[in-house]
Amino acid sequence: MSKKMLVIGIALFIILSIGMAPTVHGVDFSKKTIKWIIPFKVGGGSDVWSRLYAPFFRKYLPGHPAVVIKNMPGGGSIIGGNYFDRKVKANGLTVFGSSGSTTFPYLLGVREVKYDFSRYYLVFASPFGGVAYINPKFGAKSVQDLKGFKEKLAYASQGATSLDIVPLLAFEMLGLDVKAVFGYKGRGAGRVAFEQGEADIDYQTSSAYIKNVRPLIKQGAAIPLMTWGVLDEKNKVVRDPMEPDLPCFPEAYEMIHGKRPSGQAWEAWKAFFTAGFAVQKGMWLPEKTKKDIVETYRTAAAKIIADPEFKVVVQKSLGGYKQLPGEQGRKAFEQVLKVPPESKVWLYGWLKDRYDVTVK
Amino acid sequence: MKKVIYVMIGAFLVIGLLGCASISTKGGPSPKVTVITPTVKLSKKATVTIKGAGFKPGQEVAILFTAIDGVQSDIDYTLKPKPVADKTGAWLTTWSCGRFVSKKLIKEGTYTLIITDVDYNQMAKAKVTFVK
Repeated sequence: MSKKMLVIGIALFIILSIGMAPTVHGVDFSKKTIKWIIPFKVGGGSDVWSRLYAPFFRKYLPGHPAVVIKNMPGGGSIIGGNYFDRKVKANGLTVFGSSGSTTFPYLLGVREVKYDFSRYYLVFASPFGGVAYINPKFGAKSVQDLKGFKEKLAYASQGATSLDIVPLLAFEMLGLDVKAVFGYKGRGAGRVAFEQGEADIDYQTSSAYIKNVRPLIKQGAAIPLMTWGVLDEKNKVVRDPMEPDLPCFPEAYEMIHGKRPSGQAWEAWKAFFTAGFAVQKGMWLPEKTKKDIVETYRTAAAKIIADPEFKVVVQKSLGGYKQLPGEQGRKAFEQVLKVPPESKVWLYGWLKDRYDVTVK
Repeated sequence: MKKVIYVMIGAFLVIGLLGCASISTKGGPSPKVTVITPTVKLSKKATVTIKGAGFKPGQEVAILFTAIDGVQSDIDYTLKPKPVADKTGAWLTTWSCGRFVSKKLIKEGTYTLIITDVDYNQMAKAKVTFVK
């Protein structure tokens, strides 16, 4: 009898103790709040992107945690990136959202950058596209007409080391005489400059192009030239499915020069195109995050991307581009991490020669 | 053997009570938050002034705002000065919410501000109404 009571007592103690203890088997975010650091202002491209994903992470992370967007703008996103690197605990409760504007200073080796993507865990990545267009007053009907083009063109730019590296280098590789006018705050300002006649050539990211430039084309106020393209499974730059009738940049290059692009300029362009567009945005977990937490996030991302409701969001608001969960995103971002040092050196020289910009 | 069981149950109860005690002491005096400008006209220069009292001196405060898209934002970077309780447990801050308005994340209506500690544990709530 006494033995029986002892067994019951021990069993009761174990059962009640387990009930009181936190969950140790499996990741559970019940009653937790996830902080998603976005190193840009509210309402910008990255903020909009995170706001589209946030409710779905609540839906698919175990325990359905609240997800709070913490905008931390400043220093061209370097402040938020450095905060993530230096201050965030690897407990799965804080994640970081990067953009091409975060990746470029990292790739360029800007002195202020303390963050290092090679040490973090990518949860998922989102590609974005870009479309270049020209003022119809120059008579070009397509990019082919730019062969031997001699006119001077103005481009409204955010800065030589911004995402504008991709269009500026592309224009130069096509042999266009483009003068970058710096100081414009964002691509929206660039489009306004184009509409007001201050700029002759411009590009917009896919979603902005659909919304704001297609109407200009219909009105005959803009001629589309090319897309930057997208990366296929073999990391080859191919036509952008959003504008399949337009050539991608390597095709445009071939139309003008009669051969596929190659050499240092091409290697540099492709590296920065990948960082700036092909895997433009990403969600990251910090260094030393436990494997089960990383896998939990990646599984949630895969479920989100497969969710029919989210597929509508992708079509409507993310340009319809294939989102890259977990390993797919990591492999794509590997291209960014493997930029050959000689490509960077070539780009430093180009920035110095062309724009008198020294990367510090 | 009965004694052993009693000891086990006693230990369990003591642990449980200690746990409850540690939770209850976290609360302290109940913080109160007031929106000084409870009705705000929608504009790109809109501001909301908020004050708090009954906080622990030196307590850093976060304010969470749920926009019209249903997504919660920590509005920290739009607050001046940063809300930190003074020696008396009080703080005052102004939220520059114009960008939320211009980006159509705020429309006419009443919204709840959730005041939390830096780990987003809720401490108080307040309401603000935006009008045309």
